[in-house]
Order: sequence, then C-alpha cells, then structure tokens
Amino acid sequence: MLTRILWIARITFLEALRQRFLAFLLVLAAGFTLGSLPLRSIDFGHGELKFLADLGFGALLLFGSVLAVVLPAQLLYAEIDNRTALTLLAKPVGRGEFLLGKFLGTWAVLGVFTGVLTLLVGLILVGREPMVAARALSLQLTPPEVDLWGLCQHALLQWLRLGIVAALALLVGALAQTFLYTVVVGSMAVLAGQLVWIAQDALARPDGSPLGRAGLWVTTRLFPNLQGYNIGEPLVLDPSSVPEGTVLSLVVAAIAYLAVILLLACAAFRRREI
Amino acid sequence: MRRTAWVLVALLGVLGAGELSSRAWSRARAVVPELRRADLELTAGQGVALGLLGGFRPLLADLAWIRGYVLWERQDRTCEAHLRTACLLDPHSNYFWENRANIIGLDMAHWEIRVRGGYFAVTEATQQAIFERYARKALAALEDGLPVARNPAALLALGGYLAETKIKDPLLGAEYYLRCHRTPGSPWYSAYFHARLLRDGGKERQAYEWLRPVWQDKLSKREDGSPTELAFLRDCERSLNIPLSARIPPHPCESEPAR
Amino acid sequence: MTDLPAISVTDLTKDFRVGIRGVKLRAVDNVTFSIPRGQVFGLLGPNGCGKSTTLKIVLGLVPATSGSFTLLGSAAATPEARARTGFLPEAPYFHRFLTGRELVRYCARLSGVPAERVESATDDALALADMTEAGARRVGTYSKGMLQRIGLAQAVVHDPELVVLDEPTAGVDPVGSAAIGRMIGAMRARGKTIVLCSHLLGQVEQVCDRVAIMDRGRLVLEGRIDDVLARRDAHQISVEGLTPAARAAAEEALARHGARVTSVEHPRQTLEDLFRRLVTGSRD
Repeated sequence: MLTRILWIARITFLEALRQRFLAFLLVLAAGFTLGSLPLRSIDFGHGELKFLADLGFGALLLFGSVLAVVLPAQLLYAEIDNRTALTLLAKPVGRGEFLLGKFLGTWAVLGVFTGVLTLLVGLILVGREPMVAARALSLQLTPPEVDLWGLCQHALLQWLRLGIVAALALLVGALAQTFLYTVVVGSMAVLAGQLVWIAQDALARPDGSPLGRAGLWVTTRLFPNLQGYNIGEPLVLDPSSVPEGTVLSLVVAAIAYLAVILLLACAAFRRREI
Repeated sequence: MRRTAWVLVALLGVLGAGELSSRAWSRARAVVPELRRADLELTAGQGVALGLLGGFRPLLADLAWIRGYVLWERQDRTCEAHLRTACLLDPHSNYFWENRANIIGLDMAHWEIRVRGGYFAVTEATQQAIFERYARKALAALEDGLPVARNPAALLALGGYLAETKIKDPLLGAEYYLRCHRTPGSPWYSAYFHARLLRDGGKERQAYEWLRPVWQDKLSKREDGSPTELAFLRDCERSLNIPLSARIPPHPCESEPAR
Repeated sequence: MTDLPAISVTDLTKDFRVGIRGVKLRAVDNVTFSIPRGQVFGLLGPNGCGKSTTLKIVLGLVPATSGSFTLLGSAAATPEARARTGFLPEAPYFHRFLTGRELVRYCARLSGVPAERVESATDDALALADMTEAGARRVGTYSKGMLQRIGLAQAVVHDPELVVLDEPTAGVDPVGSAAIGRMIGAMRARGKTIVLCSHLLGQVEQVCDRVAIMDRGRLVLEGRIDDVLARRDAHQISVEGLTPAARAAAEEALARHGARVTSVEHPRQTLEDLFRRLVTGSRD
C-alpha cells in the first residue's frame, strides 16, 4: 500500500512541478519578498528586520494559501477529466491510496515552495542584520538578532498550515463536481480558518448565552485555527517571547487535523463516481 | 451500523483535533498581535479583513497611517479612524500610538476651536474645556496601547505631558510619570517629573520623601550624579525646613555647573 | 477456480441522476451475461448504450444501482481481482511528461509487479505492443496509434488473466488496427481472457469467440460468434450436398451431371448486417 501511495505521490510531484501556475506564484511571491527591500524607506518606526520578515512571511502566507487551494484541485480534476484516474483506479489501487498519493505529492511541492521562500527571507534578514544592529547600537538601542532555528520552525509551521489547506481543498474536491466550485469553497474554508480565532476569543469570555456558546464551541472545533501558525516574526526576531511548547502544540494540532481531514476526504472519494 | 460507527469516529476525530488546536491557540495567541473584536467592528470597512489574514499587517498599517496623515494635513477629524486602524494592525509600533495621541491631544482641540470661530471667539474657559476633553481622549488611546506597545514607558511619559500641559492636572501627571518610572526602559527624567508634579499639586513633602531614596539608591550612582534631581531635593529641604542634620549629605555633583 | 467465468453479470442495473431535479437516467437495464475464461469476448453497441458503464461497474470504477457481478471469481472488484485484470480505457490519456517506458514501469509498480521483475516485465510489455524503440520518447510526442499501443502495454505489463479493452482501435489507421488485432491474438494464444469493446465490427468478427450486443442499456443478443451470425432462414448448399430427400434428388440429379454434394451449411450474414438489423436507428 505504501509503495503505491508513494509512486502516485512521486508522479503527482513531478506533474505539479511542471505546472506554470506554480512557477508564476513562486516568481510573484519571491518578487514581493524582494520588493520589501526598497519599501524599507516607508517604515515608520518598525524594526526594519520586523518589516522585512513580515512582508516575506506575508507573501508566503498569501501566495502559499492560493497555491495550496488551487494546486490539489487542479491535479485532482486533471486526473478525473483526462480519465487517467480511470486507468489508475482500475489497477489494485484503492481510492484512499490514490487520494493520499495526490495529497503527498502536492504537499511535497508546497514544501519546496515554503523552503524557497523561507530561504529567500532568511538571506534578506541575515544580510541586513549587521547593518541594522550597528544602527541600533549607535542609538543605544538593543540590536535585533535573527534566530535561524526560529526561521526553520516557522517554515515547518507554514508547511503544516499549507498541508491543512491542501487537505481541505482535496476534501472539497472529493465531494464537488467542478474545479471552480472546489476552489471557491476551498478558499472560503481557508478564510474561515483564518478568522476562527475570533470565535475562540469570544468563547474564552465568560459572558454569552448557552446556545451562543455552544455554537461557538462547535465552530472552534470544526474549523482549524490557521491564524495560530502566523508567529513567524516573534519566532525569528524575539524567540524568548514565544511560550515554551507553543511550536510543539501547533505541530501536534496540525497533524491531528491532517489525519482527520484526509480520512474524511478518502471516505468522501470512495463514493464518488469517476 | 458500520457507517454510523465511521461517522462517530470522524466526528470524534474532528472534535479531538479541534481541542488540540484550541490549546495550541491559547499558547500562540500571546505572541500574535491582539485585535480586539469591538474595535475591529468599527473599522471593518477599512481593509482590516486583509490584515486579519495575518500577513502584510505592517504594510497595511503603514497604508492606513498614510491615509490618516493625508486627512490630518487637511485637519479632517475622520483621520482618527485611520490612525486607530494603523494601531490595531500593528499594535507593537510605538510610533503609531504616540503620534495618534499627539494628534488627538494636541491638534484636534485646535481644529475644533477654529471650527467654532477661532481663539478670539471662543472663551478661555471653553478653550480649556476643549483641550481637556481631547487630552483625556488621547490618554484613553494611550491606555489602549500600553499592554501591547513595544515601549510602554514612552507612552506613559507622553501621558504625563498631556496631563500636565493640557488637562492641567499635576497630580494626574505625577501618576503617569510614576508609572513611567516603574516601567522598564523609562527615561531618566521620569522620577524628577513625578516629584515636581507632586510638588506642583501641593504634595511637596510626599515628593521629597519619595524622591530622596530614589536619588540616593539609584540616581546618585549615575555618572553625573543626577544634579537636577539633587537640586530639586535641596529646594524641598529649604522650603520644608528640613533640619541640616537630616538633609542629604553634600555630593560631588553639587560643585559641578547645573545642567 | 479456472472453470468459473472471468466475468459474470446478473441483473445489473445502473441509474444516473441528471440535472438539478435529479432525473433518473437508466444507463444499464437488467443486464445478464457471462464471459468464459480463455476467450475473446466482444461487447458491442452504439454510443451511449451502456457497454462502457457495464465495464466500469465490473472494474469497480462506478457503483451499481442493483444486481451483482463477479470478477475472476470475486464477488466484487477487490484489489486482488483488479491485480489480475488489465484495462485500457477509451481514448486513453497519460501523463505527457513521462516516457513510454516510465509510464509502463509506473503502472507495473501500481499493479503489484515486484521491484526485481519490473524491468523485465516492462520490456515484455513494450515488445508485445511493438513500442520498444518508442519507449524512450515522451508520451506527449506519441501519435494516436502509439498512445493506444502504449496503453495496451500498461494494461498487460503485470501479466493479467483478464484484459479489458475499450475501443482499442478508435482513431487508429487500418495498419495500426491490424497490429492491435494481432496483439489480441497473441494474448489469446497465451490463454488470457479478453473483453473487447469496439465499433470495428469487421475486426470483432475476426477475433472474437463470443459477442454481446447492447442497445439502450439492454442486452439484445449474446452468444458464440458463429451461432449468432448464422442465418437459419436460409441454407447454403455446396456443390456437393442438400437435404436428405432433396439432397438425394439433387445428388441424383447432380450425380447424373457428374457432381457430388459434400456439405450442407447455413449461410453466414456479416456481423455488420446483423448489427444494423438489431440496433434501432443511427446514433451519429
């Protein structure tokens, strides 16, 4: 079973790398990240490194999210529309194996995307760090430091986050009939994931009707909180401010969500007519 | 039956993952800039939704600030909404909090006076009431920024300044400078200003008794010996008729020229 | 086990829901037939008659609404049964960036061919499909006929017992069609069971042992090719024979002329004639 999943993942990965959409988004995100260098002049008092990091991480978040929704939907529907799925599923390949293979191949590509952009941001930060530190010292301020281990942790969190988004897109794709519907509903699910923290904060307050609180509780459990993964700036520039165990708890939550969403996607895909 | 079992497993899985996610969020939210829901609703029409997505917050904050700045140049009070948006999107930035308070506390009062007919048309008492009203509004904005700004001491110092010069309440100003002095990264003058304003508020003895141990334990150990604070203490000793034997012993910095 | 049919279908029905109102469209309507092992079975019918849907149900690609089927003795399209089945879909499309050899190797791995045997199995499959030389080229550079042949190679790389070919000669020139016909013959000689869906009735008539004809979701005819093609309302009399009495008279008459009746047979109609007679109207 693992052999078949990995073979499907490998072919999916090779196919995804050849998608023009991936190259386009990568160039766009890299351009946006590099564009932060000349934009430094409108920094009204932020730490320069914070500004550069936030812009780079923002590019990864925005363009990565778009890629994580569109790419798996594109690859899945290409297999179905071209009927290569027929050829594969007529072999002793389970539908769940097929879907998991598509996910792993897509996730690997998202890992490449995350790695490239994180490397770019890291180079920019490390390159600017000495000059920014010297300027801070001259003003008798604490010089900022770039924590490379924090950068690696942030890359891992973003990769996991994009994995959750891709799994959600595959779940919708397994149920939907068209590519456009999958992308639209997948995007809405991502937006819900970015905003569910509002419900979690509301739930933390003691006030509110029981019915309202029950609704909030269900909402906060159903949708993964994607906002929690956006702690790149403190991880890289102020790691001491990040409570111990935060990264580990986020990783565990991400793995749990991935497992559940992929299970649901496989179950939905089993009944789908190809 | 089997299908029901699988549905239950899926449901438990989702709830379990959600519980883990909630716990992770309770750890992570401390380092993700806080966006209060009430303020969010007021500025929802100004691109905050994009800011909520987590990325590009500083850039959007800057854009909101630029828009607010343009309106400030036109003396348009609607600039306040944009300045508030900038503070919400980038709450760690001292620049936004300080300048927002300055604009509210120092500039908007003048705009309102001009709208009402100018300084000759508006009575002194009314002018003072206007200054006080806007200064208190600025203090409220500063209080919002204290928990999240990178350098809260600077905000407290500004609060002391507004309380002294615009609200004309020296004791309120003294309170702000005291809080400033107790905050890490406070400016050198915060202790002195607290004591001075206490004296201006009629609490000279309290000012002396507070500043003296602070000077002796900490400020006197500075390179210049803090002569300004020592001069203030000497003034208090004379006006309070403190016996010579109870006064602060002579200090080398008293022979140096005053700052 | 080998006496069990390769495929048996009993009262198979498939309804699709079409449109917003979910109107039922019956694509397969109570179809029953059986495909013995070691034969070439032709499944014929006009476009939209349900033959591809029937095959997809048997291969587990589409769930049936009612009825049952067996695939190589299994009561469902289990992975084990599919591991012994090869399938070439209609108008096959493969990943264009793979070479032919990489594609066949990929399908071999998915079909469960052990790693140590993959290369030899790939070589054999490419040789059977006459694609050994073209195997190094990318699939995106292939002609229609080459795509069909590489599709055949991926269907047989794991040496399946049953091979299902859906329109293997669609869009292929006569030379290519003949080559595919020879490949089918070669597979049959190796003892494989082949299910062939095709519109090339002449080819089906030549290669198939049994045929089934479907129309509007229903099975209208099924049997041995010789049986279904024989016309029972006419007789073909060879120079040497006739019915016993007439034969005797003819023999006597012919004998008077110096001839001898050697056989009395029913004349054959062509498959195309039979097809046109049974299927209502043209679908084109």
